[in-house]
Amino acid sequence: MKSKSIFFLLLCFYLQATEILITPIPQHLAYNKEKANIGKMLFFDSALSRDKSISCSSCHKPSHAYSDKLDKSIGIFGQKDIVQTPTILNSTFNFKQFWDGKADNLKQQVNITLHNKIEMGMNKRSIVEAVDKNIFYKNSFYKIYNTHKITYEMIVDSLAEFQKSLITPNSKFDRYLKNRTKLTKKEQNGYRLFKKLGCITCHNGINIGGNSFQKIGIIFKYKNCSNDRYGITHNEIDRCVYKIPTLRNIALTSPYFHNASAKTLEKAIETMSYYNLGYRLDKDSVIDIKSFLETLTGKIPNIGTK
Amino acid sequence: MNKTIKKTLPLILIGITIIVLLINFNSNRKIYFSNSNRIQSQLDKVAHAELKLNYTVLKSTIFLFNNNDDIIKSIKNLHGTVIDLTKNIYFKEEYPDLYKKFTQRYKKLVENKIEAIYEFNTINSGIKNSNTFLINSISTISSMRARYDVEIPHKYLKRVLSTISNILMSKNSMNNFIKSENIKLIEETKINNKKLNEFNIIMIAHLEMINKNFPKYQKLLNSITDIESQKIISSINDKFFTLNLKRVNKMNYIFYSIIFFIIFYTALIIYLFLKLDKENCRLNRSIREDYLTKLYNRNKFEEVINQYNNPILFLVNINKFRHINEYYGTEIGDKVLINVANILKELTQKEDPILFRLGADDFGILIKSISQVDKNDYATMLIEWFENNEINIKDLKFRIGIQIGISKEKPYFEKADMALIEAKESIREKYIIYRPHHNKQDLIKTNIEKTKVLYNAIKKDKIVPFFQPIVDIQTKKIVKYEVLARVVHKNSDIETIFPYLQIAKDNKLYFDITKAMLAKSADLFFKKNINFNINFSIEDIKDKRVLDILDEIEKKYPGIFNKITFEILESEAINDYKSIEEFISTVKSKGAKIAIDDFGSGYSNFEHLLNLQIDYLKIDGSLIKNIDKDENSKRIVKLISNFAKESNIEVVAEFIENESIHKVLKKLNIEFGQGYYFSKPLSSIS
Repeated sequence: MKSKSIFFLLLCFYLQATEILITPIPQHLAYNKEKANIGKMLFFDSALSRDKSISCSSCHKPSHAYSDKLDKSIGIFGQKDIVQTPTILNSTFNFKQFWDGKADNLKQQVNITLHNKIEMGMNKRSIVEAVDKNIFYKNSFYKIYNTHKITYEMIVDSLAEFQKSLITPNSKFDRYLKNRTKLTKKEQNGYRLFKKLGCITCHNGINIGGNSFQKIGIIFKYKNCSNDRYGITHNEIDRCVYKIPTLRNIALTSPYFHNASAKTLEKAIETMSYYNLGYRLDKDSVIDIKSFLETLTGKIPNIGTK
Repeated sequence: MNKTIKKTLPLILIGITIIVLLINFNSNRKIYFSNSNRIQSQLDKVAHAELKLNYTVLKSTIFLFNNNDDIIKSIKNLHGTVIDLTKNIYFKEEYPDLYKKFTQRYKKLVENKIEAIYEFNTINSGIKNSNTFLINSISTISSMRARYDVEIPHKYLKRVLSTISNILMSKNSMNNFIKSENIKLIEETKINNKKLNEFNIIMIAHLEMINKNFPKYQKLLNSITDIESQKIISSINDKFFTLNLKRVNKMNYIFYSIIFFIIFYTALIIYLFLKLDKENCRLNRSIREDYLTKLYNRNKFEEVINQYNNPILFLVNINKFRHINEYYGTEIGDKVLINVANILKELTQKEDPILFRLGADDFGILIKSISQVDKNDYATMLIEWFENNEINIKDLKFRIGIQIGISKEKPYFEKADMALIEAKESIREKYIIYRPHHNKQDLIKTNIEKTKVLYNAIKKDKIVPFFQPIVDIQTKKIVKYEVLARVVHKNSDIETIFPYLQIAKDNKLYFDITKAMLAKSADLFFKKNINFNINFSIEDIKDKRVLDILDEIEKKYPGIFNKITFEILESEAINDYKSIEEFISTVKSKGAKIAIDDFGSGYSNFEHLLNLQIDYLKIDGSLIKNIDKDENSKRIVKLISNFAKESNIEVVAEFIENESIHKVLKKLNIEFGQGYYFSKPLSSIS
């Protein structure tokens, strides 16, 4: 009797432990709407780039789930970027930003991107000047800060605030987690494999990733490791180490990996399971996993509404 | 008012200081406690956050599946608590050593730890997955034989199982049992079967992955769970507690000091209050007590007098006390008063009266009930004591006389005072008990009337001289006149000046009367060339202005002094014979003559008279009036006459009212006479 109850207790613990591996995206997240609205305008404003050719949205295309279908996005003066553009959807849930995790938060991310020589190529002064020219921004900032003097920090803040608003709740999987819907057999099997093979060891949490640094090719050496975390830490152990990307909306954000080497989701699944888990998956398993991953596509925020 | 403010200002300032100190102390105390509580709670939060982080990390090693968000959350939490405490300015400023230790050592350790956790997470994922793979591979190998019909070399199998077992041991015990040479041997094993070879390649990758990363895994986990950072936070906590305790103690000292200060202040106020109270008492007493004799004063008398149903008041006055003050000074005078007060206290001890000092030299003895004493015996007892005893003050011996006014009815003081005044005036009575007829109300009224009349008369020159002839007793011829002052009333009634003399004396009008008399009679008698007598009182003699008038008259009427006889009234009041002598010698040198008026009325002092160069004696009327019937009077007059003749003094008899008197006087060889028998005072001289 006693041993039975202990068994149930352990079972419950185990179940609980597995079920909270992935948590659903909340319906709403607290953020400053006024700031986010300015941020939204700025996000689409090419005045923020040095040659006025691109805006944030040029690479983080709303139509492509705020990522880029190009292997390498095009920066200012037609320059090619060095890594594949990650989506900024749900980026507020990431523990670090960028592939190499060089930013601790969204504000740092905005700051780095604005200063990046390939990307926006601006500096604090040129940014403020560009924004200061626009009467709309002036009025909007005045409403929030009650001053006519626009500062760089205000601009960064509003862009970060806009990114906070970009969350994708109500994915099928989230609804499944909340017992609002059921997964198909394939999806169910995909999820089972996802756990059993060990994908979930790294892809877990609210963003199903984005909460640790991991090494690509931990089992079989991966050769094409450019712009990895070693560039930041210069620690040998950080060779081929990247921030684990989120798997939310993964079906919408091809191509995959930092180097865009996987053009399709199937390829990405196969690559990851071989290099990092030591499995060569059969077709069915790949399809099942893919169908599970497709349930992670949530509601993309509508740009038109405020 | 100003003085009061000056006196109370320090007290108010001290009071304000205490209040300010208290408020300041209290707000400091509040700030201190809220700040130190905040530090304490932030320290606790940091320590707790670190423990929580350690827990989540360890949890991630135990469970195969783990939500890394937990670790990130814990890291952010720890980071946040550390930042909070770093931003605590109070901690930075008040505990600089601890702050330095926290920001430099602890913060660095935490940062290292977080980095280590990130690295650990990377390795942990791989190790967990490989671990899972290896566990699964045990069954895979065994099933492979059946599935693919592969002969698995025994040695190979043994090595694989041994290596996997070592890896599991290592992971569970956190000790490295993995033998690299075993893995190498597995790698070197030749496998012909394709499937097995495929499996083997993957397995070896996993084995090598673990083998390669396990030391790092072990090291990172050890560094993450290292307790050094916890030791530091714990030591910061301990040190903070000690410092805090010291500060609390210091604050207690300040608090005790303030309490002491308050106690001191309270004591000061109590002291000042008592002092004020004492002062108040003293003032209170001085309202009711005479400062000199310590007897009660008039105020107290008025307070207590109505408390007794049937009291009796003895008002004791020191006879001629003013002279003591004048001759010996007030210092002695005060001593006399004190002495008398003490003597009265002793004398009246038995009856237990209340003693007062009711005037400069007036003492009140209030016997509470009239039945306690026989008033006559009591007064006599007091008077006799002073008659029989001397008072010694600074080697001086004083024999003091007292008079007493006694009253047993309301208003006690006023009536006793009236009785006392009467006793002072009386020659024989040393004490007088108030009786209704002593009520001077009427007298006062008439006095006021008389004063008015006299003022008016002087103002309107209605004091006129009347003239009574003085005749030679033998020949009945008029030899001269005595000038007598008369007051002419508004209705032309004429009244003698005598009823007004005392008033004139009291109101300092005597001089005006004398001046009028002198001027008018001098003019008249100079013109008529007749001699005349004029009355001069002791007041006139002492008045220097009178001498000036006399000089003026002499200038105006040369030789007038030869016609004047100054009649000086011999009375008790004459105690200053020196000024009389001076006056007499002055006027006599100018040719005037001197008569002593009312001689034989009781005050005569033969010894002094002999020293004065007098020319006439006017025998008092009381001796003449009955001289024809009273042998005694006749004998006295004869004696005076004889004495006068011996001394070359001529005698004048007054009040000669009939012939038989005249005959007696003629027989006695009296030189001159005056009276109604010869003539009444006349308004003019024919």
